[in-house]
Amino acid sequence: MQPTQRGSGRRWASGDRDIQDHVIRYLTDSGLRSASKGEVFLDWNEAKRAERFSLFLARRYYRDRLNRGFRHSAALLRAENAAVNLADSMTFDSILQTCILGSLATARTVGALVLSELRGRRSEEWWSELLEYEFAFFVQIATSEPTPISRFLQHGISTTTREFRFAIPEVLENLREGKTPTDAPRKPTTLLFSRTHHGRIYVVELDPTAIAVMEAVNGSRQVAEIAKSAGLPQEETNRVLADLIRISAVLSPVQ
Amino acid sequence: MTALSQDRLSIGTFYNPHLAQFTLDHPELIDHLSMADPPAADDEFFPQIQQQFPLLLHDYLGQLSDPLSEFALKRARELQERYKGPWVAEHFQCLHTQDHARSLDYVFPPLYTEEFLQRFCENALVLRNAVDAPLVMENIPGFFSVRHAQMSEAEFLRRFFDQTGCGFLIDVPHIWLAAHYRKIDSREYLAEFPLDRIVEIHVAGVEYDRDLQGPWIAPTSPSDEILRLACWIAEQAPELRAVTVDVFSPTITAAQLEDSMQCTRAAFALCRAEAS
Repeated sequence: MQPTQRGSGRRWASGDRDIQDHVIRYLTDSGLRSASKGEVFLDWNEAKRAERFSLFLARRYYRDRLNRGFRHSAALLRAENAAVNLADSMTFDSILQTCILGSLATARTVGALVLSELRGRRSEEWWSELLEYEFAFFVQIATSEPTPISRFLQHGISTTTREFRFAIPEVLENLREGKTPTDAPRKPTTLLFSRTHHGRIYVVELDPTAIAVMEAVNGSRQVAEIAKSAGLPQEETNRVLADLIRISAVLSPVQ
Repeated sequence: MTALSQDRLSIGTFYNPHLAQFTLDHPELIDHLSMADPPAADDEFFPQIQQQFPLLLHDYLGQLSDPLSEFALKRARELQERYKGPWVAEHFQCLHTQDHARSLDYVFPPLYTEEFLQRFCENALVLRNAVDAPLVMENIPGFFSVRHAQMSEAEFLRRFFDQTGCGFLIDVPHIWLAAHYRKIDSREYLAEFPLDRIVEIHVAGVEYDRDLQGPWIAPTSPSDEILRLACWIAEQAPELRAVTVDVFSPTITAAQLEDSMQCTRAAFALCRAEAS
């Protein structure tokens, strides 16, 4: 940021750090920019430049996440068809017009674009499930939006539970070894995707007990109610919840 | 584990794990490695990398506009204990909101104001004490102006270094971009910067970006213009210890890294030859 005047002719109700927060929100939120909420701290010409910088930031952010999130499918496609290239497409340009950087909604929109573009690129039965796996992983790495606090146990904002018809962990293992599975084993598998406050991503396979607890956590129940809903003893429920809280799949209540 | 050379300028780059074998095979090109991320647990090359090269901590440790959490300080301390570099680096940046609800996920300068200067000075000293090593701070360019700035970038940096005694990690492309978007010459822009505080120089390439409608940092070789500017800066930096080719990207190839290292080494060899 370049100084345009020595000292501040304008009096601010808040400190400089709060003003910086306004600038950051303005850069990350297309809604604030379209509502001209930057006029308080930006001259007209500088607002135009800030808009360009916002587009740069968003494209860079999602290009990086697409590259990391859809790397397995990329290895199975011609380079020009990899998900990362969608960050330079016209459809992506239109997403940028309503983008909130790091939000769950934008992550899902970008991920859905990938699914719609890549589903038809291969014909193996496991292909669409691989893409669904990568979609769920992408949503974790592309969502930095915090979960609103609650007085009850709740799922993390991006936490995703997904049932797969194929043994996706085995498919991934094959791909990591450079092998393309022609006939992936059918094995119903439930995977949980979560992201911690510090940005660490977890993908874990759930057993029936953990699935029951995850389903019982609905953001309005106490532990006893969760245990009852899951049909489990409270001690067992507490143990499972502790594991789920450790990986931020479930968040503790805030009093 | 090796130490940075005391009697000559060290010329290195960032550790790109996918180029670990190339890095190990080319000690004649690379004197040191900056670490932007901790090595992956399954990085089989890293023990040898650490054996062969001095490592400089250049991770994201936290934004010094705000007090660092105990978690962040502990992490910084542990990384420095692991790398044992001659200094640790952070940036003049403020990229996420105080409530952590929004982040730019990219380097972004603070408002250059008295309040931010005080914040950076206080928090830099806390970080330096936590890691028990010298701290160097890297300049970050702005792309647009905010009305509320109270001083220039140069004044902010000079007063910061005067108050804290920290070292200056000057990123030359950042300076070049800041000058470019002000439509002034880079040397003119540098006139008020505290070049005598420089400990490390970053060089990198710039390329046209369609969103910015102008040049920005890119994982390409540093241009002749950037390298000439870097050499000019080096001549005025008596405390300079290291030059780092700032490329850290999974897309960079061994050939690109080799080209970047060779042109950087050639530029500084020529610079030294002319000086002597």
